[in-house]
This record gives sequence, C-alpha cells and structure tokens, in this order.
Amino acid sequence: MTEARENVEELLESLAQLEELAALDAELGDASEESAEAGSLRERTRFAWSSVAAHDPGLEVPSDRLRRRFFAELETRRERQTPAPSRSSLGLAAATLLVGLGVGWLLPSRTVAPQSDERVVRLEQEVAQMGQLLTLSLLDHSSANERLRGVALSEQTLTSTEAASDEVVSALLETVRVDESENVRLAALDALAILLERPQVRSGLAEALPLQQSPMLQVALSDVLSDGFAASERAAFEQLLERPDLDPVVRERLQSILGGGEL
Amino acid sequence: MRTSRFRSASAGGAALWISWLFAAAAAAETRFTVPLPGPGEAVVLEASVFNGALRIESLPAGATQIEVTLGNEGDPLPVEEEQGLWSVPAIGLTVETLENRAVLKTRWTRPLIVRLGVPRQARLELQTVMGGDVELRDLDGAIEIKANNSDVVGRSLGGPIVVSSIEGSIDIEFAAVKVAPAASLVTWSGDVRVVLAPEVGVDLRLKAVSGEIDSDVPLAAPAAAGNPRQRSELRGRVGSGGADVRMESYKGSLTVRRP
Repeated sequence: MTEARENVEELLESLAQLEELAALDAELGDASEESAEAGSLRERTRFAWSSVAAHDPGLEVPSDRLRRRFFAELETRRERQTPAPSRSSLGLAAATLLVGLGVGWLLPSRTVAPQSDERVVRLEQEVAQMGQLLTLSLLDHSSANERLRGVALSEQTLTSTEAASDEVVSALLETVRVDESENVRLAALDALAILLERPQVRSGLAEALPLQQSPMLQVALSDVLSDGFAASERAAFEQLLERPDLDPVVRERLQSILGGGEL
Repeated sequence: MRTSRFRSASAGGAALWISWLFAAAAAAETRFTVPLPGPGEAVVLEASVFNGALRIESLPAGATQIEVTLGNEGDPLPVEEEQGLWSVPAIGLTVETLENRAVLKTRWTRPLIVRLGVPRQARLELQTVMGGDVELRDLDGAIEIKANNSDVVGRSLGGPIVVSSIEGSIDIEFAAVKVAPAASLVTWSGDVRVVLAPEVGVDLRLKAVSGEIDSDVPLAAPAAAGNPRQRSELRGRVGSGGADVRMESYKGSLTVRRP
C-alpha cells in the first residue's frame, strides 16, 4: 500500500511538471514544425489518450475548457488526498494522469524550442514511467479485455524506450506463464518476441513452455524459441515431448524443430 | 490475397439464427426474469452451459434485468427464487445475483438452449463446456468467451471481445461504429471471420499457420519477422488504425470483410 501511495504521489508530481510544460509551450506560441522528440512524445501521448478514451467511449475530445476543469479537479483531489489508495485506485490514478497527458498534448501543434529540450526529455521519461505503471495495472486486471489492453500498451513501451522496464518484462513473462486467458498469453508472447536477445526473456519463455496445456500456446512458444535455441530450451522442448497427451500436430512441430527441419 | 477455401461462416450464422427462431416457436419454454439492483450500474453476466447453446441479445434501453428463457421439452419447468438465487431444479440450473453481477450455471448434460436478454452495455463472461453454439446480437459491452467445440457468432457488436475456442469457428460482425473495439479471436482448428464497418480504424494482426487468409484489407508481413511465429503473421491498417484486432487459427482460415 505504501508503494502504491508513493506511486500516486509521484504521478501527481509529474502532473505538476506537465502543467508547467504546458504553460511554457503556451508562451512559445504556434509554429509550423515541431522537434522529433516532441513528435515522438505526441505520438505516444496520443496512444495513451486512446487507451484512456477506450475506458470511457463517451469521453470528450480534449479542449482548453476540459483541460482547465481537469487541473482544477486535480488540485481539489490533491487537497483531500486519501492516505492509502488501493491497487485499483492506482490504476485509476494512472489513467487519470494519462487523461492529463492527452489534454495537455493533444492541443494544436506547437514548436518546442531548444531551451525546452531538457523538459521534453524529462517529460518523455515521465510518460514512459506512467505508461509502465498503467501497463502493470492493466496486466493485473480481472478482465481479459483489459489485460489485452495492458499488453498492447506494453508493446508501445517496449518499442519506444531503449531500456524496456524489467518490471514490465517480468509481468509479461508471468502473463505468458499463467494468465488464464489463452488470448492474453499469446499477445504477451508476441510482445516479448522482439526482446529475445535478452537472456531473461528466452529463459522465461523456455520455463513457460512445459506449463502450457493449450496446443496453440505450445506451438507459439516453440516457434518463437526455435531459432538458435540453447541447451535449456532443448530441454524444455524435450520435456513437452514426453507428454503422452500431446497433440500430434504439436509433437510433429517439436520434432521438426529439434531435428532442424523447416517450419 | 483472396482465396476460396474459407467456408462461409456468415451463412452458417444466418442458418443458426433461423433455426433458433423455428426451434423457439416449436419447443416449450421456461421463462423468468432476474431483476438487478442498482439501475445505471454496470451489469456483469457470467454464464456457463455444459451442453447446448447460449443465445444472448440486448433488452430495450433502460432495462435493468436479465430475462432467462430455457428451451426445454414438455411443459414449462418450475422456477424457485430465494434471496437472490433463482433455480430450475429439474435441470440443475441456477442464477445467482450479487448486486449487478449475475452468474448462470447448469449441470444439465443434455442439450439445453439458454436465451438471455441483457442490458445492451452488460459485460459478458461466457463459457461452453461440451459444445453448443454461442450467439450474440446487438451488444455493446465487453465480452469474453471460452468456447469448447462451439461456434461463436456475433452480430452488431460494439464492444471489445475476446474469444478462445478449441474446435469451432468464430464469426463476428461489428456494429457500424466509428470507434473500433479491440478484439482477440483465437481458435485451434476453426475459421475466423470478422466484418468491419467502413468507417472504423483498426490495426489487424492475423496469424494462420496452416490455413489461408482472405482479406478485403491489404496485408503485409511485419518488417522484423524473425522466428516462424512472426513469419506467420500478416498485418494491416484500416483507416487511421487504433484498436488491435487479432485473429489467429492454427488449422483454420481467416477472413476480413470491409463492406
């Protein structure tokens, strides 16, 4: 609970910085081009906005009026901050924060001048952190639809930051291992497939393979691990092959992988 | 991109609806209404049938109940209610409610058709155990289905949907809404068909390992297609993109229609 509260406080602090940046942008005025960083940030906040908007299809398009209302509401909430937010309130806080991001950045294009580059970089980091928090919250949701949205958000995080969060990677590996929805496990596997060069990912997926009951997951995991597999992965393939109830299609595929055949 | 191997799931779906209408007219029915407290709150329905069919459609706007119709043989069956628990003892069916969540279960192993009317925005968690089709119509809430030896047919759906099927086809037509719902439709050996309204924006991700793909939307392999799983994927963007629509079948074929 303490950690959750710290996270929320951190998010609130980030929001304050975003407010400052929005004010700075307003001072800089309009221009025809924006920096690559700002463009990247805009793209990611746009995705974050779409994630939040999907929670509430009736959400209105951000406007100055909405933005003022949002920050006024934020100020009110700060004043009566509750002492111990729950896990779900953390998710709500993260979602609310992303509304703020969307509101702040989905306004008409602005130029980000060189003197604001540092702030843009800092804001990028904030966006990445908040995206990760929202991802973790969604991956922990009871609804498979929401967990899938968490996986989709994690893909944005993993592809847009040089150092993908170990916490997000671990959460995705756990999802592949034990999520009750086959659909969510497959989506998480696809999200991780771009990080196979990480030993943590390969070994985690190899450990997940023998746990799978679904032939779809058995084939999918085997296919992902089939290129350049190590001894530990071979052991995972062989462990799965020992199952007497293994689907013949899966058995044939595993034998082909182990024999170096074409898939 | 077009092939002809895909068997027409839409024709199958239409046949199912027609057969439902005829069956409903001929068979005896047991009906009861489960009122839900807290109007305006989200309604969640969990339903699991052992064998038979689940047919779910929306009630008129403002409804805060679940209407249960059982297509059974002979006379209508007696229904009991006690403290939020409805039961039809003759077939071991129960509907338990807790606030706006209702859980329907039945141990009846013979085929049983369960028709449910629910609020349009209701969130549905459905499961079939031993087969029987799932049919959905005019629903906007989030839907999750685990189907075993069952076909899943959805018409005029507006919410996100997750379907996992072992042996069975999935045929989903989204309503003509501008915001596309996300979807994940996975089956081991059945076909998957999706119909998108012309104005929606989605990102398609299709994987057919041994089946074929037939799409009205141009599809291409992703740039970084390293391992066999990645190489089996085709992607396409409709409109400005947005929600992911994932379709996957190991043995079956995939079809995307955009009228």
